[in-house]
Amino acid sequence: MQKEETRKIFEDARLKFGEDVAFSDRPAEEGSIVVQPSRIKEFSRWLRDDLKFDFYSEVGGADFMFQNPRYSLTYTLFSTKERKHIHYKVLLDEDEPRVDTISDVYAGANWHEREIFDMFGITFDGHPDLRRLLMPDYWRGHPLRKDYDIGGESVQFSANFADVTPQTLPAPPDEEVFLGWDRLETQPSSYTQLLDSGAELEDAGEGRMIINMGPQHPSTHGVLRLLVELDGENVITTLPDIGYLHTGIEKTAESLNFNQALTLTDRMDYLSPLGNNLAFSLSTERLLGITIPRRAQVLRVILAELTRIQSHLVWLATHGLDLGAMSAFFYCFRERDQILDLFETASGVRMMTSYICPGGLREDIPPEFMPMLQSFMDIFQSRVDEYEVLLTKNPIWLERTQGVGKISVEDALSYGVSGPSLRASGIDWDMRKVEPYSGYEEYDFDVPVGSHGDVYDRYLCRVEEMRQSHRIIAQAIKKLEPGPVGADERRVLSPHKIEIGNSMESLIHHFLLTTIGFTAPPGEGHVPTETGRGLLSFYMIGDGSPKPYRMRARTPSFSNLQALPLMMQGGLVADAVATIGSIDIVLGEIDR
Amino acid sequence: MSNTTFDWIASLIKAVIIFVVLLQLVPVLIWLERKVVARMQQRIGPNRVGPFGLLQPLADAVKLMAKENIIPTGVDKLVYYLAPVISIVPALAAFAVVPFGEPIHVAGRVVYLQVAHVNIGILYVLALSSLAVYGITLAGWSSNNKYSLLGGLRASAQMISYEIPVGLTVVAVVLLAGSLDLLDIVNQQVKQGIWNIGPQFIGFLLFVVASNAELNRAPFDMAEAESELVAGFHTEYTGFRFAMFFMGEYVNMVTTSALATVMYLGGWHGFGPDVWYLNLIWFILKIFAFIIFYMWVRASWPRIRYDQLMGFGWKVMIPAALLNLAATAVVIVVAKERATLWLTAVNIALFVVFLAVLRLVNSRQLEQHRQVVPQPDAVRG
Repeated sequence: MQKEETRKIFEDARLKFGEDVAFSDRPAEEGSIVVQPSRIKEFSRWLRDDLKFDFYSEVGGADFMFQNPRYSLTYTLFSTKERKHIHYKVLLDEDEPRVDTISDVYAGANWHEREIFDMFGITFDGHPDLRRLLMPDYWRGHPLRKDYDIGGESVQFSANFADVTPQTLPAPPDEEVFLGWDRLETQPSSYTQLLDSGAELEDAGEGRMIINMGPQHPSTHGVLRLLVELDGENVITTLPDIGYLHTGIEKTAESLNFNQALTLTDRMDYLSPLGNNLAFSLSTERLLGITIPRRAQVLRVILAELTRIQSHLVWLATHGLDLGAMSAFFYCFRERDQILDLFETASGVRMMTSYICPGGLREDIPPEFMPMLQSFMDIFQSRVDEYEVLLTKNPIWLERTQGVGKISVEDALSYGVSGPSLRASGIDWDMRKVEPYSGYEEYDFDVPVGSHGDVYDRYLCRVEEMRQSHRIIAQAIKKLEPGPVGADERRVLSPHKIEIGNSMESLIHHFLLTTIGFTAPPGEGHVPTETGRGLLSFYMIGDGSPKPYRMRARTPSFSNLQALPLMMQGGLVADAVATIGSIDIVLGEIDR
Repeated sequence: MSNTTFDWIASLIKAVIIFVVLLQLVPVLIWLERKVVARMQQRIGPNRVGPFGLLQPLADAVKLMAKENIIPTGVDKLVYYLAPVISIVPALAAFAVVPFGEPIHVAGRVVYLQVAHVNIGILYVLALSSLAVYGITLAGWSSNNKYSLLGGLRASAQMISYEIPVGLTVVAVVLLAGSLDLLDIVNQQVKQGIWNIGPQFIGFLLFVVASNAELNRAPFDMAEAESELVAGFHTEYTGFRFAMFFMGEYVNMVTTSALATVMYLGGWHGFGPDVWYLNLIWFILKIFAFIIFYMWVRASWPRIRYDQLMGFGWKVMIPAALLNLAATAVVIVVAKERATLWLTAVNIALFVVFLAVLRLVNSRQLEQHRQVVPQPDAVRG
């Protein structure tokens, strides 16, 4: 169905762009439009202005080595009016890959393009600030290229700051095209510009001051670094610097089989591991073309909602702590612990569960799980009331959060802000409603929507979401019926233990699945999902091998953080802390 | 023994006792704070070192003393060394004039239960408590750290602003007592038959709030707002110098609580027989009631924002304190002997009005924002 819509848009595009657009069957269920690189900006603008694709989601790159053209960029947009999405692609040649930026069309593309520049070495013409994003500025090579050396290379960074300045580094090898190098020496990046101007301002006695929040700061929620220019205590500009937690998850996944790559997703957004597992599994299942039995679907919903509650609880706890409300922290962690106990009962692990896997669930839940869940369900509503008593009507809380960190719907959509942070601005946009997956269409729940887009509305939205998740779980418990929790697909899931004991063939099959893994057909799979933080989707590319050829993660915190400077503008230092807390970022999934 | 020698010896003994007791109170208070706040937050608190974790502060103190003293580069050394001292000395010295009991007679001579019986005691306390801000400001300024600097700046602005309401509420009490002597203030409360918390209820509330702000404690802990300024003014302090700031803060808390007890809660007077040891127990109980109240506030409320704090100080606290002072003065002049009664009535009425205003403001705050009503499953618009 989605494919038909894409085709319709393609036909319109044909009339306008002629031979410069083509239709592609990848991803198989959705289709995409391939655009000539020279017309990409025009095409994006056309989609935004004429077809009302107002919600920018992502740009993701892929390197198809030995193919011509070698690089492919996939753009994903949503239309909030018509509730559909579209992929379109640009294919780029091997030598000197460059394409126009769309960061002036969609503000959110800024960081995604920088990431692609960093990882693939593709230049974006007209980009306002084309620097490396995740790797250090002096890094050589582009890690996500398929010909990037893995293993054996010396570590490129040093603990000593003097060693890493461009002057002391050896000249880059000739054979490598290192686009960032000359840029670094000739063009001062905005970071150094900011520092320089800060020094000037301080010298000139303007009363301006640059403070460096993070990467070690109590309120940056991880290793986020913000360069904040202050006039007294007023924030003038903010420049986020990320990449301190970059662990190369997307690259590592390419050398692991699907079940192993699944375990990496736990470690991305470490506060909603099961949400990540679910998104990964859905995309992989779409790539494989398999369907999941009902019991597994319902259990997945229960687990995903528990994860959402758990993630929101950590958010509420730390957000409260940021604003000095320290008691809420402990109340929230009390309930979170109950949820982690549930995860432990089900999967044996409290946080990095990898419990939802391609094909269903790893195992069925143990019998003691349901009574535990029920006892949690019984108390949780009253516990949410308890948090609200502490905060919702507290005059100081209201003073601190109302009218702080505002962002308009239009800005939020253009930046690709998603999840409660987007809904607080006043738009009803939840992937569980827009493109239901795992049977969410069967559940009766409401999407809380704010109106002011400030910290307080984000707070209200998340608290209400916890109640709604509670509602969903209550319905799911009623829907739960006995049955298998794995798809009837022997090429994906191991045979049952008893069968392995009795049949040599099953044992061999189990052995192969464990050591090599299942193979995925060549193709692409993409399912947008809603985690506690927003729109999470994995863009899986298979090449017929047991490993993902490319695992691209579109993570919600990444886009949400990008809009932070906009929200922080004109606030005070204390507002900055409130705003950072309110967008609920997890650096693990920003840096990946 | 001449009178002077006797006074000298008595003062010395009292000073030593007060000094030792105050400093020994610090670990007790730290333990108490950790326990009280822990209980409010569903935790157990320290329970490993000693019975009920009582020795935990001691272990911490030993750790702090044994710690390396790191001096960051670029600090103004003299000021950096001096700042913690400046913050603890006034805190200790301020307690010198606080009376903790009826004067007793030893060997036919009067011994005041306060280190120094000064007839302008309350001025002395105010003067010293404003000195404490220097410690914090200078620490922030000399540390060569931007967060410290911001902390120090906040502290100076905040403490100066809240000094004014404290002073004004004190003046109202002084008007009632007709004396600056703390001993007289206590005696006058007994004489008028009702503690000053009655006729000066609004003043009492203002004093508690303003002194909380002056103590730099949550929700007014701007200077060390750990989520914004890392640790504020004491970011760059380690070891025992850091401990001195800590001690200064807790000693200040005791002094302020003692002052509040003396001014509003009738000092050492309680129910039951009027013997000196019972009086002492009453006095300590009242002080601890205040301290636990401060801890309770810390556990329940979020931190106020710096500009809101200043706005609150100048736009609410100071006008309210001025009004209170004016009202007190007028009633004293007009009602003369029956001033206490009238003041109590006026205060209760004002308090009711105040509550109503608070409710109104809060409901306006809430109204400005519609609730996030769950929307039906419909497209926007």
